[in-house]
Amino acid sequence: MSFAKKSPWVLYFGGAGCNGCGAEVMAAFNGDYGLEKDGFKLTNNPKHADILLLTGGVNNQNRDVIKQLYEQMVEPKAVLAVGDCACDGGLFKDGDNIVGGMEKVVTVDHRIPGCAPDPESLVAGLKEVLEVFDEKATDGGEGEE
Amino acid sequence: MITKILMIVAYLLIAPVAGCIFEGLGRMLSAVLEGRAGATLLQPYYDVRKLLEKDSMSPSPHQDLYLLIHMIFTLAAGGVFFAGGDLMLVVVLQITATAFAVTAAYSSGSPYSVLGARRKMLMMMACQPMIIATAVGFYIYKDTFGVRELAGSGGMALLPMAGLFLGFIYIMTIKLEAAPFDLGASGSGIHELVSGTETEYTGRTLGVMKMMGWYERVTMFGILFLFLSNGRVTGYIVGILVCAAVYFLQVIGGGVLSRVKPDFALRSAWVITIALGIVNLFVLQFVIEGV
Repeated sequence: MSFAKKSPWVLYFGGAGCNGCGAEVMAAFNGDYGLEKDGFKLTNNPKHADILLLTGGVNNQNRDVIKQLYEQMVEPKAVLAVGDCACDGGLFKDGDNIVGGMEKVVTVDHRIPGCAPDPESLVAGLKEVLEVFDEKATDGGEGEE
Repeated sequence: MITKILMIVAYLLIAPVAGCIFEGLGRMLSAVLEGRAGATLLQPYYDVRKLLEKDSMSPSPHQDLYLLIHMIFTLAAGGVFFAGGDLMLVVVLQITATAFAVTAAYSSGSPYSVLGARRKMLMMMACQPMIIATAVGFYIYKDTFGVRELAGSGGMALLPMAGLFLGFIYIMTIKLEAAPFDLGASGSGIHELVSGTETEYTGRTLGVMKMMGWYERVTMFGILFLFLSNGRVTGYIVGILVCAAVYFLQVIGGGVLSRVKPDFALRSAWVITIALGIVNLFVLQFVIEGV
């Protein structure tokens, strides 16, 4: 049995966007949705994180940052893209400085579309990405981009 | 001899369980105080088991070696204590263990880790005089450094060593880096140093370090227990109850008080060491012992 599912630590990074998804992420992690009961914890250290939660799109300034954060996380790890911008660039995808969605830089394991998705769908999405993370932990952590 | 070995084995097996359960209870209590649903009792256990399943990567070839030495000295300190050995030796082993944890944090070269290490060193300077004064106090009162004799004979040391007892509780909070003194690893709430000394520990290494924290906590509460223990069942029961009460008081204190600055930790610790510890030592030597 893997203990990965019992204690997922989440690293949140807000990319290029309006920050609306970020507000919803913070709302989802407050006490009302019981994520802490399932072992979820927000961490701000990539070296301790299991799940990389990304909002907003990729631009030329943050692409290396996202890549570095992903590379600093140890295996097994999973990536969750939250909101339309993180999924495919969303509202800003035609902007000159926007490269696109998060899959341009890292392998995204699960997507939660919406502009912005509500905390309920975020909680459901986190539980789904947990399945992917658990699978990787059980298989011995294969998650290269 | 066999009793000593059994006590060491019992310490190695029971200390992480006790440390884990107490941390779980502490987290539940602070969640209740903060009005959150909070995590379950076994969450610290799940965290460590998950960390042990993860890979780990080390930024420097020396870090793992220093952490291994830290681990050996932490376990040795607890082992000597619970085998009934010399209290002063326990104190020295603990200082060495902390010194290697600081060296490990320095060796990574990562800015947050180095800043955390600096703070951890200040904390070490803050609390060691009081811990040594406590050991000396026990010697003056009971004429021995032997933990077995201290725990199993004579009267309760609480009243004649009241100053040292209060000071030790204060210093213990600093030593265990419990809030509001969680300066080195920036454990809770405010993360101005990311994770301080723990920034560069990953996966298995972090899991082992968390377990070492449990071992260290049990040893420190063991020393606190010596103040209450008088070789009789009542003393043991009172000792365990007081240790539990002090732990929960620390959890409540951590929730209520905001994090202090390292300067304050150092200054207040030394003032308390002099005002409560050293004065108590003089009273013990010249008034109670009458020499």
